[in-house]
Amino acid sequence: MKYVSEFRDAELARAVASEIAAITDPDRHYKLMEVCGGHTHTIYRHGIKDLLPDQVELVHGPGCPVCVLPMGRVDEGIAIAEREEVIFTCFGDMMRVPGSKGNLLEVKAGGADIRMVYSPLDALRIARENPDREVVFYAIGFETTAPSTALTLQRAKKEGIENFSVFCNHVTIVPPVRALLDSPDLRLDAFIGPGHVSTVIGCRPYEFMPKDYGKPCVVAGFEPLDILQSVLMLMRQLDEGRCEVENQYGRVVLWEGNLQALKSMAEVFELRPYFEWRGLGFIAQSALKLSAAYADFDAELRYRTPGVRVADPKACQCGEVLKGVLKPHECRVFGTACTPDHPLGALMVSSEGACAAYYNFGRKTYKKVEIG
Amino acid sequence: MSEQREQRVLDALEQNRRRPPKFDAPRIDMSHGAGGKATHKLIEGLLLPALDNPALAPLSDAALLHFGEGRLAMTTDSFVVRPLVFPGGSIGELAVNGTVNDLAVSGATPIGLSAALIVEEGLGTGELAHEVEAMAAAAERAGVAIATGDTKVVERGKGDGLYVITTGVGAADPELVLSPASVKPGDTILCSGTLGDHGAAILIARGDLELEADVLSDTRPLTPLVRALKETAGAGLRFMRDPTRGGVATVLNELARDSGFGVALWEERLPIRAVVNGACEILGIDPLYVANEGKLLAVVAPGVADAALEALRSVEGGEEASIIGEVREEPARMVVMHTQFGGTRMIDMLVGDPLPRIC
Amino acid sequence: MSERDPMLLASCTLDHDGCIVCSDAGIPVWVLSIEGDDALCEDRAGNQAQIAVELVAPVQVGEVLLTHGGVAIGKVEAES
Repeated sequence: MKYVSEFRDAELARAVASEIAAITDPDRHYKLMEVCGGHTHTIYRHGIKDLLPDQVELVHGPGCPVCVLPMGRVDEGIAIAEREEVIFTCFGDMMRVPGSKGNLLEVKAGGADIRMVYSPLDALRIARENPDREVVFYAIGFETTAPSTALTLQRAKKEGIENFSVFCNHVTIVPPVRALLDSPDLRLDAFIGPGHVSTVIGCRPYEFMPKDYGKPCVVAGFEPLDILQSVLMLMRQLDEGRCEVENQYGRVVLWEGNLQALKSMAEVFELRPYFEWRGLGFIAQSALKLSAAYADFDAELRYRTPGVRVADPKACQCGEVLKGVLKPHECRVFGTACTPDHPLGALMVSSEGACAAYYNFGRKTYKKVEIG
Repeated sequence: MSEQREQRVLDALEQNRRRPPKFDAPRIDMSHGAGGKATHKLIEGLLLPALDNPALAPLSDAALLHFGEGRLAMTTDSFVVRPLVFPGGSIGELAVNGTVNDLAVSGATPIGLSAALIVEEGLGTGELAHEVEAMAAAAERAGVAIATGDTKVVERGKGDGLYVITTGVGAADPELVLSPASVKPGDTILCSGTLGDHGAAILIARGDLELEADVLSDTRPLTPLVRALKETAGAGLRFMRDPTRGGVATVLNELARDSGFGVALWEERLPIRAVVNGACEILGIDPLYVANEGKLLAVVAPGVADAALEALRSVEGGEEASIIGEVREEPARMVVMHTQFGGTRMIDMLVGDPLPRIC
Repeated sequence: MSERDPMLLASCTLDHDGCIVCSDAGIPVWVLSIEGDDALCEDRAGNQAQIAVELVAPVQVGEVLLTHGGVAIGKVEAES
C-alpha cells in the first residue's frame, strides 16, 4: 500500500506497545471492551491484538446496530418493502440481516424494489425523482448516523416532499452499555469509547461509567495507533488507580459534542420508552422514533406496522458472550443451530461479530497467529 | 478441560466444513453472483453435483480436455457489466480479454474465440458498432481470432443494452502443471500490478455514488505477462490465476483451501493506488476483494522468484509487479496478512454482494 | 501529501463486510466549494462528493470535515 500515515506507522506502534507492556501487571488479566463496531473492525484489520501483551484482552462490544436489530423489526421492514407502491431504500449491510423468514436480499430477488443507498439523502433524491412512488428509508445506526437521517427529514419537510418516509430503528449507545454494567456477572475492567458517536454526543454521557460503576473510559479514534494509544491511556488509569473519562480523539471530538447535530436530532426524534436488542432483550430508552412534528414521515404510522415481536431463540447466549462470561464456543447453539449462514444471534450476523470470527478462524481470533 | 471442550467444537466445525455444501436458498439472489461464499455454494452445491465430470471437477479458470496427443484448454465467460462503457475500457474489450486471460493463466495459448451477443431492443447501432470494434481490436491485440458467434435480440427492459458471452479454446502447454497441488511451502506469490482498479473504476463510473475520481479499468490481455513468466520460471511456475470477481482475497483463499497450505501476505507489499484505496474506503469495501481485469497472481518456486519479478516488470502492464506473499505450512487452509501496523489479519473469502455487475 | 497531512486524518477504514453504520465510519474530506447547504468535498485520495454541511455550519473552503453517510457531522482540527 502506498499510503502510509503516522497513524499506521509500525515503529510508532511498537513504541506504544512497549509502553503498554511496561505497565502491564504480569499476574493480572485485563479485559477492555471496545464498544464500537468500527473499533472492532480496526482491531481486526490491523491485527492489533498481536501487539498487546497476553494479559490484555480486547472484548468486542455490542456496537453494531445492524446486528443487534431484532427479527421483528427486520420482518416489518420486509413487509413494507414488499408493498407494490414502495421503493425501499437501505444501507447495503442491512440486506443480509436475517428476519424470521429471510432477508431483504431474498425479498429483492422475489421482485421487490429495494435499492441500496450510501446516504439517506440519496433516498430523498430517489423520492424527488419518483413522485408517483412511495420511497421508504430504513434508518439504522447509533448517534453517528442519526444526524444524517434527521437532516434528511428536515430537508424533506422544508421541500414538502410527501412521498418519502422513514422506518426508524436508530439506537443510542449509552443504555446498552449501562445494561452491561448493571449485570452482576460482568467481567470487564475498562471501556474504549466510540469515537464518531462521540463526535455527535460528546464525552459527557460517559461520565456515569467511572462515577457509578468505577470503570475508566477513553474515547478513541479509528486509526490503529488511536486504539493502541487508548489502550495505553486505560492501562495507565488502571495502573495509577485513576478512574475517569478521557478523550484520546481530541482532534475530532469536542467534550460537549456537536450541538447543531444534537439540536437537529432533538427536533426530529424522541426516545422510545423501550426497544428490543437481539441477544440483549429489552432495554429502556435505548432507541429513537420520529417526533410528533415529523409524524407525517413516520413509516410505522404510514404503513401501520403491527409491531409484532419475534422471540429470540431461547438458546441464544449472545448476552453472556458480550458480557465476557462465555466464550463463543461455550454457547449452546454455536456452530450447530447458529452459523454464519443461519445466524441466530447478533454476534454471528456480521463477519466481525465475535462468534462469526471465531467460527471462521477458531483460536486464531484470540491467540497470536503462528506463521511457519 | 475447557481446552478439550473447545477442541471438540472446533473439530466438529472442521468436519462440517469438509462436507459438500448443500444449496438451500429458495431462489437466486445477487450474492450468488458476487464470486464469494454464496457463489461457491451455488457451484458446489447445485451445479457441480449435476454436471460432475473429471474435466469440470478442478473448477479452474479453464478446463483441460485430452485431445489427440495433447490437451485443449476451454473456458467460457459472460459479461453483464453496467455501464457498457467505463473509464479505461468497455464491455466488448472486457469480454475478449476476460476469456483470453482465463486461457492464459491456465498456461494455454489461445487458438480461437466465440462471441455471443444478447442485444436489448433499442440499443443504438453506434453503441453496438463501438463494442464490436472494441472486440476486434482486443482480439487482434491478444493475437486470437473471433472465429464464430451468435446474435439474439430481447425485448426492451429484458437486458441492460448488451450482454456478451465469449468462449475460448487454447492449446495447453505440455510442460506445465499449473494447479494448487503443485504448490509447496516456501513458494513465492507474485502479483503483476496494482489491485482493485477495474472494480473501483466501474463503481465510480456508475455514478450513483455521487463520487468523482480518476480511476481507469485495467482491462488488458495477460498473454505477454504469462509468456514472460513461462520463459523465466519454466517448471518453477506452479500456479496462476487472474483475480477477477472476488479479487485477490478469493483467489488466495481458494489456493489455501485446495493446496492445504497457508498463504502469508505482506500488506506493505500490496500495490494499490492511493485513489483506489480512497474510493474503497468511502464505499466501505476492501481492495483485496475488488475485481481486476488485467492482473495475474502467480506462485513460483523461491529460486526463480526474483527473475520472475524482473520478467513481469519488463513487460507492458507489469511495471508495478510485486512479490506479495509466500506459501507456508501454517496456518493451514487459511490466508493471513502481516499488517503494515505490525499485527496479523486473517483474510476470509468474500461474503455477500458488495460489487454487483462489474464484469 | 505535506499540505494534506495525514495527521489530520481521522479515517476509519471499512472492509468487505464492514458497513457504514456498524463501522461507525467517518471520512475526513476537504471543502472545495460551497453551494448553500451542500459543499463539494474531496478526500485525501482525490475522490469528490457532495456533502450536506448544515450540521457543522458555517464552513469555509479548505476546512476539514468528518462525514458520515453523505452528511458532515464534525470538523477535524489541524494539529500543529
